[in-house]
Amino acid sequence: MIGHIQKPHALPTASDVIILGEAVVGGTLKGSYLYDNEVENPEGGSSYTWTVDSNVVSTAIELRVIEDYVGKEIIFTVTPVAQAGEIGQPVSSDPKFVEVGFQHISDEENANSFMKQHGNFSFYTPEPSDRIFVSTGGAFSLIDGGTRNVYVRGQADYGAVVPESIKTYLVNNPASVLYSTERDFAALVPHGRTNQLLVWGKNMPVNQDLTKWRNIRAVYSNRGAFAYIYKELSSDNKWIGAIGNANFGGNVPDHIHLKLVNDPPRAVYATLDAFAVLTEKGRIYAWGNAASGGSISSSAQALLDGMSTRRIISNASAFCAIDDSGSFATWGDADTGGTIPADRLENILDDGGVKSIVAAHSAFCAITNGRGKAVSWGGPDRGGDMNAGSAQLAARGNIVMCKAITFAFCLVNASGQADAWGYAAWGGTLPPSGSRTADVETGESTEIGVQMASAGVKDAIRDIFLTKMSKAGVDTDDDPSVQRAAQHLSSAMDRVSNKIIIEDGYVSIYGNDASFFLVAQDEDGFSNQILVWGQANGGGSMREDTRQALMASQITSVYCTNGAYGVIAKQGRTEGVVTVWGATLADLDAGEIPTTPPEIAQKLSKGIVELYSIKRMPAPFPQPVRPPIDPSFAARHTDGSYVLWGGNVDNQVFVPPEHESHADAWVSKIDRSHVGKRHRYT
Amino acid sequence: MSIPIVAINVTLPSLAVDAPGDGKDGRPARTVSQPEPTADTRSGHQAAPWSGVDSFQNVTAEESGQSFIRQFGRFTLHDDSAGPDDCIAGTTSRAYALVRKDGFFIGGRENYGASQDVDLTAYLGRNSPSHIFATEKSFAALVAVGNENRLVVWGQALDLSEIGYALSGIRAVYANRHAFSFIYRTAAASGKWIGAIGDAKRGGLIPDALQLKLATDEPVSIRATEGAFAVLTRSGKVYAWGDPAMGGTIDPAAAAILEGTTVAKIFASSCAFCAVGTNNQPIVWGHAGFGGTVPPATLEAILDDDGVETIVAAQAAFCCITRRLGKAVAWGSSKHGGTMGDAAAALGARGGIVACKAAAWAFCIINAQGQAEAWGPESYGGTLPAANGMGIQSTPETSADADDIRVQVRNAFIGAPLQAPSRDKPIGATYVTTDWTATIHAVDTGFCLITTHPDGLIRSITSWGADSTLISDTARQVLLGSYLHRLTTSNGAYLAIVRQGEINGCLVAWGESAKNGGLIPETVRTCVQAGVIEAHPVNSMHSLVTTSEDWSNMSGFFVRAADGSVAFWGGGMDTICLPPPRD
Repeated sequence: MIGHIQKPHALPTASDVIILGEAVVGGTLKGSYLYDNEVENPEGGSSYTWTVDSNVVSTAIELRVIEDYVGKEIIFTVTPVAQAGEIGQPVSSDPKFVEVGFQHISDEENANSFMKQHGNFSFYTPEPSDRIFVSTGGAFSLIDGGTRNVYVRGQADYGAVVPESIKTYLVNNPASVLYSTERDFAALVPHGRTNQLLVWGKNMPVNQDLTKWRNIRAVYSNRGAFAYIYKELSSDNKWIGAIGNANFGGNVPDHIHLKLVNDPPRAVYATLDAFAVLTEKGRIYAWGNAASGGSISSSAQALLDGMSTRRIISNASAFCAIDDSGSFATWGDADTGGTIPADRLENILDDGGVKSIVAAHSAFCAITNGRGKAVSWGGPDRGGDMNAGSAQLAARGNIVMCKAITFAFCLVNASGQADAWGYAAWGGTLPPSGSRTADVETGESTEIGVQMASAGVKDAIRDIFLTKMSKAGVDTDDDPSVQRAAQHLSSAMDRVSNKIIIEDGYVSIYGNDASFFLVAQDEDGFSNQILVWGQANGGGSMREDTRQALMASQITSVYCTNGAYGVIAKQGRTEGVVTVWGATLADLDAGEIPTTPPEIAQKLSKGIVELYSIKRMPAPFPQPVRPPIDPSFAARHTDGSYVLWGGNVDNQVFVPPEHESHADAWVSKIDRSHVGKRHRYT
Repeated sequence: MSIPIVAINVTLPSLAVDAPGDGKDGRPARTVSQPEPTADTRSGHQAAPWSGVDSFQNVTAEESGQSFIRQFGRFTLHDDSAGPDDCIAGTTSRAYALVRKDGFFIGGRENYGASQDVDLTAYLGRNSPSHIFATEKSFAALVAVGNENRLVVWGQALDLSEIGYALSGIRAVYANRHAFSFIYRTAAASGKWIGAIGDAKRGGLIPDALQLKLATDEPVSIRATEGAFAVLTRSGKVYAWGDPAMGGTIDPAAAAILEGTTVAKIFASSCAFCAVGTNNQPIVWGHAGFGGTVPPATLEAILDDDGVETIVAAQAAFCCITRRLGKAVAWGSSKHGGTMGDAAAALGARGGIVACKAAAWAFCIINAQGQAEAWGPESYGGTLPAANGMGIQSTPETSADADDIRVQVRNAFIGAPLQAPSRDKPIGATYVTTDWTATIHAVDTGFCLITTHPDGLIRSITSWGADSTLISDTARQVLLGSYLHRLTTSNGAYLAIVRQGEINGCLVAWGESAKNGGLIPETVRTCVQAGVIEAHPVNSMHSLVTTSEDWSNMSGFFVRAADGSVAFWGGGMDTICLPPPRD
């Protein structure tokens, strides 16, 4: 080019620096920025810093949010560096404030409710809380840090078809927050000084009046509807609203709006097909399917009127409200926990009321404030009635851990005594002794039933706690000393859930459809004990080599599908290693890492920052054989790609494309009409 | 400046919340608790026909007296001179209820609210209600209980098991034909500001969506058609409920205009509402055949003359007097007063109208010169007879063409100022000059213009309409020598309370006597000889398909004397007389 003069490289500059994802404990944020002069001066090794209240905590592009950060401000800073070596000026993002819980629903409420309460269709183990990847029961959406676009993939009738009118909102709007029901998505998109909620999916209305869905503070979901809270009272005197199938609570009755005018809502809780709004003054109003908690019985209402509710725990079709004094009230399906037998109620109230409540699909279990007893109620064979062993353990008190899966509960007391009850073939028994793990390679490993569940769990759990007691100086051979130590531990806990921080480490119990997974770790995250039990081919058994690997790892996070578990761990110096077990690919689940394409195993061996799942709706009733169900895992790699595998995706490494080239890219071509057939994304 | 208003009953904690600053000069404080939406523009009215107050429960006498159903909660369709003054007695269509110092009395037809329940009457005798309200067939009584009040209801068409609203803490009570509605002192625990009881389809059930609107814009007052209610809020918004064909649904077009309008007044025909904004624009909704739509040309005529001065409603039509020139235009059912005859339209178009009154299906207007016209069916008072025609009766002292009603009216207006004095009160049935006061009264099927001297001495009486309603020569002679205190009308008869000589509270009745109380029974004359202080109509509601030939509705009167004696008579009712209570 005549007359062209080679200019010196402009200094590298970064702009539009943002933090991708929600700053909530249990998720992994990602820094995102635009490198401005890529053409003239290509980017080299730009450097990053994350500060939490001005202290540098990481120099990676991603940051996992831990409890230490609660109440503090996170800032992401990038210093652009060109390939040529020039270093630009550092540019920082706006700060994000780390909150407890999400949208005023605490982690305890979320963890202890059967369906997760953070506006994301999920069960058992909460999804990563960053919301960068959100799934329905058969599709997912993700916000990509590179293109800053939202990508949606999956089955057409599970929300994968994004209406043309909405697509443009999802391009270059990385501050969007996504929510899901089983078959619908909602996206809260910044829009000037306010925001705009957009919805699509099977249960969503077609002729939408978007003007009603602006200036929204929080969005909640159940199986077929969204509920939302405005930032302020709307011009038509409404604090809240709902969208979706009317049978699921898609319409908020006006008498509830009326109540909220002078007592604003704090949060909205959900059963599968009903909602309950909790107000600042501790009042509750419910709507949706009346049989599933959408209407409050007069007896429950009388109790609620005398309480100032602070917590709500839900199962599939009933709610349980708790106040600070330990009073509680339950409503919803009487057969699944919506009413509590008088003797059990008395048992709880006579012991200081409720400390915590944990919900299975169709039952509740309360831990009492006094001696830490456990009392369950609900569907008798679905966890509502305890077996003899559990009842003994529950009555002795000092319960410090409780975890529910679909139709079973597991309890651990402060001395490490443990038991389980519920539907036996779905994790409802805890075998006292025997070999610790079953070998899935043996011939009978795919049989369903307790006989194949891991044995020796009780003894092993007891060992964990007695060892910790010993370290704390308790004479574990002296029963009164053990009892005193147990009482001390129990009474010091004001909440009971699936985790306990004890002495030099912590113990956690996870669950999926029909199995449990317990891990004891030291304070550095190294495993002291790994135990699984429950349905053998649903995660209740583990290969010995898998166990060996996990015992030698620092487990950072645990997630599940319906029938499998996935663990992200640090192995030696390698971070982000994924280990899975449970229902296999042949079982249409994700408890096995595919061998093809080969890059899947390669990606999963390093650099995975989060593991998301696409869970299916659990079966409503226990059956001897768990019905075919085809969930999947999606692993987010630090390079921005996603590894997809399992029952309802094509096993692949998904790299968000620069351009969504044609309409077909948005829609799965999968036909879901053939049950049992293997289905794939894209 | 604000003229204090005579208290209805200063002992009523329930409804009477004294306005700050009132009563300083020793006069009783006003009894309405809510500031009226247009209080500034309305202060100073002393509107007839009410004798004591210019508004009750935040409804002005203008709006109440010029709506088809009176708007003070007692199912009154005709001239009730006592207005809301007399809260301790009320009538349905065939029964009365009375608070007296010796007990609580209910009389009349049982299926019209004359309950035979001894517990109820005993209770109300021990807890004297402060106010009595009525629909066509049921009563409501407001009783003070502790620091609160309770509404006790009884009668037909009340399913008490369906009560969806708290019946305590009530500030004001309103009634249509089939239901009561009320406003709480403060929002109830449910968040609701208003409640209702009665026929659910006709106003007894209030949509929660409406309650939600009131949550941040509290209700000031309620208006009624036959089967619907409309609530007016502090910010001048209006919301309706009840039978959609009776104004219970505001059509989208009207709603859109109301959304941008601050409503000051609301008038009602039997099945339609007409709201008037602070911008003086009329907004109508309800049954189109009852005035629920206004023709564009009529609307334009109103707006071209600076909008609405006032509205007068008949059963199925509205008449609007305009602000600038005082013109009159009408709309609604053409056979029931919605269409003006040529002469009436011409008079209305010339403006200067100073008085307007509606009978059931007819209107009458008079200008400052005493030129009068009427329209509507002839047998319902819609024609002013010219000479020697039907229904020509009575004359003032000076008369030529004595049979010509137009001449009679002009004669009655002799001495009127050439131009109407600047108004300090709304145009309505009464026109006040320095020398005399003229008031047009009406029964269903006729009119009666009475002028009085400032001391109340009756100066002229002119009546026209159905034959049976015309004043007799005897009554005319008696009245022309009497001082008028109050006048009440039933569906077909007139009852005047007059002073004769030194005797106060004498009764003179005329009009239809067989079914409508136009003849005072001998037993009543014996029992209540004089000293009558209040007279209530006992009236019936009829449909538009009724003709004068099969005029089946019956009506009568209930009167109360200073000594406590009462009498009740009329069509379809046994005459009842209660002697005064024993001391």
